[in-house]
Parts: sequence; structure tokens; C-alpha cells
Amino acid sequence: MSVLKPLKAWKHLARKPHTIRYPAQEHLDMEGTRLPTDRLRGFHSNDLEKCIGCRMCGQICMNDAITYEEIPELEGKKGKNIRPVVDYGRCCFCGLCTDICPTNSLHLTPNFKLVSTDKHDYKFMPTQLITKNEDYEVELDKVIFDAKEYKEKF
Amino acid sequence: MKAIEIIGKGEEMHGRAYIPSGREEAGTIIKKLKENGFAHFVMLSCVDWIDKNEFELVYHMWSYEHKEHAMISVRLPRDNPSMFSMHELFPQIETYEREIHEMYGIDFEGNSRLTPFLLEGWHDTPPMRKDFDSKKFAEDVFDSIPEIKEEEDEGI
Amino acid sequence: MKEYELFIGPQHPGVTGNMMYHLWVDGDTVTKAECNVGYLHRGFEKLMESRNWMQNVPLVCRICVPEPDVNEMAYAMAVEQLMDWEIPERAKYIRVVILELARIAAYLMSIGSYAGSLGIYTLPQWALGDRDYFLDIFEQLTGARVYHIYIWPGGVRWDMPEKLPGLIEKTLSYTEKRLKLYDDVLFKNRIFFDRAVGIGKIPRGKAIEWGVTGPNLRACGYGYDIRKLEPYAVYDDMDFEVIKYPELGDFDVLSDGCDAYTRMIVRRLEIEQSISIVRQALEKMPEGEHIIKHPNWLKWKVPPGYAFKRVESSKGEYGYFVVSDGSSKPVRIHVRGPSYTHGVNVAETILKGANMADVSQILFSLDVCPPDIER
Repeated sequence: MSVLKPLKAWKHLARKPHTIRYPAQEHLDMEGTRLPTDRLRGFHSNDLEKCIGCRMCGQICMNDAITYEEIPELEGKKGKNIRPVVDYGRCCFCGLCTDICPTNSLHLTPNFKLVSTDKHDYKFMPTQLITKNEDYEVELDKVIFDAKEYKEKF
Repeated sequence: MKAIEIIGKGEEMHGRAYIPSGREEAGTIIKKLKENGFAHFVMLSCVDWIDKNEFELVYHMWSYEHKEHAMISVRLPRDNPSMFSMHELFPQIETYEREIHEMYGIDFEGNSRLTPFLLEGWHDTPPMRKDFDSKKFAEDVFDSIPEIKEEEDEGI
Repeated sequence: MKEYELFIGPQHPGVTGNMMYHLWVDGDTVTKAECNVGYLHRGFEKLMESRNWMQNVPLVCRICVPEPDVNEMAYAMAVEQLMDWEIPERAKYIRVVILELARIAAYLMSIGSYAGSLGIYTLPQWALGDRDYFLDIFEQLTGARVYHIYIWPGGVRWDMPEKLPGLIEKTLSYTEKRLKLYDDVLFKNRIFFDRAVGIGKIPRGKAIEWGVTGPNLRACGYGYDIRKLEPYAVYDDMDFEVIKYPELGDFDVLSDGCDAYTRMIVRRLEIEQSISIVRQALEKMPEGEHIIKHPNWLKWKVPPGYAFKRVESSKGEYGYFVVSDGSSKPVRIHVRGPSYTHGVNVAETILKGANMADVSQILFSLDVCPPDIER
């Protein structure tokens, strides 16, 4: 028991704070790995060419966050010509939809930053574009995908 | 199993004793178990078996001495269900009975504190009953709230 | 006699979450206390009845915010019992690692908020800051910081990344260093001795009858821990001693137990115990599979039966009672939260006669957490 021991806390005045100035400062863990790592469950990415429109992701989703939109250009490919549209106002990022995906086309990416004042911006069709950003910066206009804009690869 | 030996009936279920009991004898069984080492009352659950038109009350007890779990099951009819309160044996049963009274509509004779616990101003069917349609309730209550329209929403 | 009625909560830093205590006060002394919950009722148990067995996994972890993994663990064990599954050995070790890390994180939060209730505002900042390093581990292991959705029926969702044990070890040794500072600021502080000794006493003879569990029961001198009584995962392989009242290690035994002082010291010592368990589990972890193959989630039917599984959380005993009728959805899932007894009956009884200024420290020393009262 001591009255003076608690005063040891004063030496913290000269220490660096826990707080990081995000996003100006990087978020690193104790060993210096940059966070978030690839495992973080953020926005979806969907390979539209690989996806077969089987509606499994919509069935397992307990928040009814996944609806489907038709892409006429995909007619004649394997499966149906519908692709999932995710409402991020409902999504809880559990990732069950990606685990049930039979073709492994749907993934969760470590991207999670999306700022918009319009609530309709949070409902869009995830494409693969989102995974290509190496620096984890999400650019809004690249993420939001309109079914009419679909162009076939090659 | 020890609990089955004490009571003289019941079956073993994955290492836990399951003792079916009538409405009247449940009090005696729980008292007997308490005197024989089952000192920890774990919880009181209620299951709604709507197909059989029954409620099942499950009293979970644990014995620190014998390291054994006993489930005492009491089946009650679904119309006007009532049960004896056991809050004198274990004081925390009072809270479980309050919740079950509120969520399933089971009356507990002898419990003087069956006041609202989680819900407030509830006059509908008790919500945990299987015949309460929570989806319809949500649509009735929340869809009637008009959607808030923001001014910027329209302009852009 | 004049009495005042006071309402603490639901938005009050002196109460442990979104719950309210209705107090009747005569001068400075509480004459009657009533717990009022319902601000956080989300109807999880009803919701679980309308979802299939896999869709419930992301839901159960939301029942306890500071320590979500115990819920996933108890639910997974109950489903495994009904399915009669044997899970891979490696998954069991990973489960122990994440459960113990979550326990340390929950204890840090509880110690921090307790110190705040005594007016020592340094420790809440430190403890929450240090807890964030554990969240960094969770983020790399499970993909989320708070709601992990990691322990699945049949194993764990992903294997442990190769370099994670190094980070865990580094975080643990950092925590050990920080604990010495915590001792200086709180656990060996004169203010703590003057304020907490003999406050909020649970009568020793009544503790078990009242349904007190976990650290609160161990502070009353009963060395009961579900990790020892009913070992789940690989706790029977781990070497640890149950910490109970008269054996408080380096700390002085100042009272005859059962009070806020002993409860907090037991929590403080259990952090060290958890650190040692995590180290043992990492050392003994075998190679192999981490999950067994699931049936199709949309058509998954669980055999009928009753399952009851218990786990030891940082707050006490968590129990899941799962009833299945053989269909693709559960009939009933009932959660036994430790705060159900601590927060309502025990708190109402021991608050009677307490000093008004001690109310919040009694509640924090019981570690009452409203989400598991209301579910």
C-alpha cells in the first residue's frame, strides 16, 4: 500500500499516445503490420464473369440485404443473367454469402470506407474492381456499378 | 446417474439427467434435489410446443458436489397455463418467472412481482408464443410510420 | 422519514450499460433498489426461431458485446452435441486461444470501468487503449474487431495465420508489463483500499443459492470454475489453478471476501491466468484440419433433442439451452446470461443499505452487463 505509487502515472506525460490520427497516420499493429489485413470483412467483390446467378447468397442472407438485377448482355453465358446487388444499409458483413458461393466468385475485401450523404449510394452491385485497389483506398465512382454499364471483357 | 437415483425416475441425455414431472410434484422434486446437493439453480426455460398444444417449463439445476446437471421438465396446457412459483427456494427464480409470465403468458401462483420486466405497455399476445407473428407486428407498427423525406434528397 | 427516488441510467456513466436502477434514498443510504431493464431488448431469442442453424451464428455473438466469443462457443457446442460431431483437435486449441484472449479483453474493459467508478480516470483510458491491441489480434484472426463470427459449429472458420502467434506473444508480454502499472494506479492504491474493502458484500452462505457465478462466486471463497468442472475444448489439458478468495497471490487479504475489493482482485489475477493459458495453448497447438465439412446450410437439419452447454465467461456462467425438433430451424434457444442473476436479484438485494456513492462501484464490481439480461 502506498500513497505515492499512483503518481508513477505522471511519467506517461512524456509518452506517445495510443491514439492514431487516422487516416493521416497508418494503423499498424504491434509488429508493424498494416491494418486492415486481407481477412477483414468489408465490401464485397464479385467476379461477374464467374458468377452464375444461382441466388444462393440471397437465400442464406438473413438480413435480406442481397437482391438481384438482370444484365441482358450476360444472356447465353453459363447460369442465369442475374447478378447480386448488396444493400449496405442492411448488410452485417458476416460473410455467409461468400462461404456459400459455389463458384467462389463472391468475396469480402478489406475495403470499408464509403462516405456519402445519399442513402441510395449504399446499394450497388459489387464488381471485381474493388479488389484491384492495392492501397485499400476505395474510390466511390469505381465501386458503384450500374447494371447498364456492363461491358463484356475482351 | 445421481439425480435419477434421488428422484427415482427420468432418463440420461448426453450426460445430463432429464426428469419429466407433473405440475404438482415439481415443487417436491426441486426441493428434494436442492437438499441433495443440487444447490445451484441455473435457469428456468420455457418451450412452446404448439403442435402438442403444450408449454414445457424446464428447470435447470446443477450440483457442484456431484458435477451433475438435472433438467426437470413440466408440461402445461396452452390454454390458461399456470404454475406454482418457486421463488422461495431460489430467489432468482422470481426474475425468470417474471420474464416467462410476460413472454409466454404463464401465470405463477405465489409470485407477487409479476410486473412488466422487458416490455412496456404490451397488450398484444405474449411475444414469445409461436402463434405471435413478429413479422406482421413489425409491418403493422413500423410501416405506419411515414418515411422522412430530406429536402436535399429531391434536389440532387 | 423523507425519501428521495433516484433514477440512474439508462444514460449514465455510473451504470453498466443501457439499463436503469430505480433507487429509493434516505439521506445517503439506499433503502430500496429496483432494476429496470428493457432498453436493449432486441428479441434475439424470437429471431433465432425464424432463422436456420447457420444463420444464427452471426446473431449469437451479438448477445454480449465485450466478450462475444463465449456465445459462439456455447452455441457451437450445443449444435455439435445435437449433431454428434467430433471437432478437429486443432480447432479446439484455436478456440481456447480466442476465448482466453476475449476474456482478457473483457477483463481490461471491466477493470477500466470499475476504476472510473472510483474516480480514477487514468485507468479507463489505459485499459481501453490496451484492449485495442487485442482487437488488432482479433481483426487479423477473425476478420472483425468486435463481432468475430469465428467459432462455428464443427470447428473454427479460418485457420490461424502463420505469423499470428508472434503477435499474440508480443501483446501478452506487453500486457504483463502494463499490469504492473495497473497495480500501482488501482490495485495497490490507497483510494481502492479505502473505498472498496467491505463494500457490496454478498453473504457467503447465500452466494450459491442466489445464483452467483464466475469471479463473483470465486471471490466468495468457492473455487468453482466451469473450465474445471465441465472442461470443454481442451481446458482439461491446460495447467491452471482456480483463483479463489483466500489465495490472492501478491495482494493482501484485507477483508473476509465477498466484497468489491476481492472481486476486483480476483479479476486482476485471472488476467495473468488467461495469459498463461493462451501461451500453453499456442505451444501445444497441433497441426491439422480446423473445421469439419458442413452439410448444405440451406437444407441443414439438426436431429431432435435437448442440448444444454455451459461456458465460463469473464462475467460468470453462460449457458445455451437449444431445443430442436428435427427441422431446419431451432424450436427454442434460451440463453442463460450471468448478469441475469447478478444484475437483477443480487444487485437489488446488496444495494439495500449501501451508500449512494458506492452504488456504481458495486454494480461495476459485479460486472453487470445488460445485453445478456435482455437478449
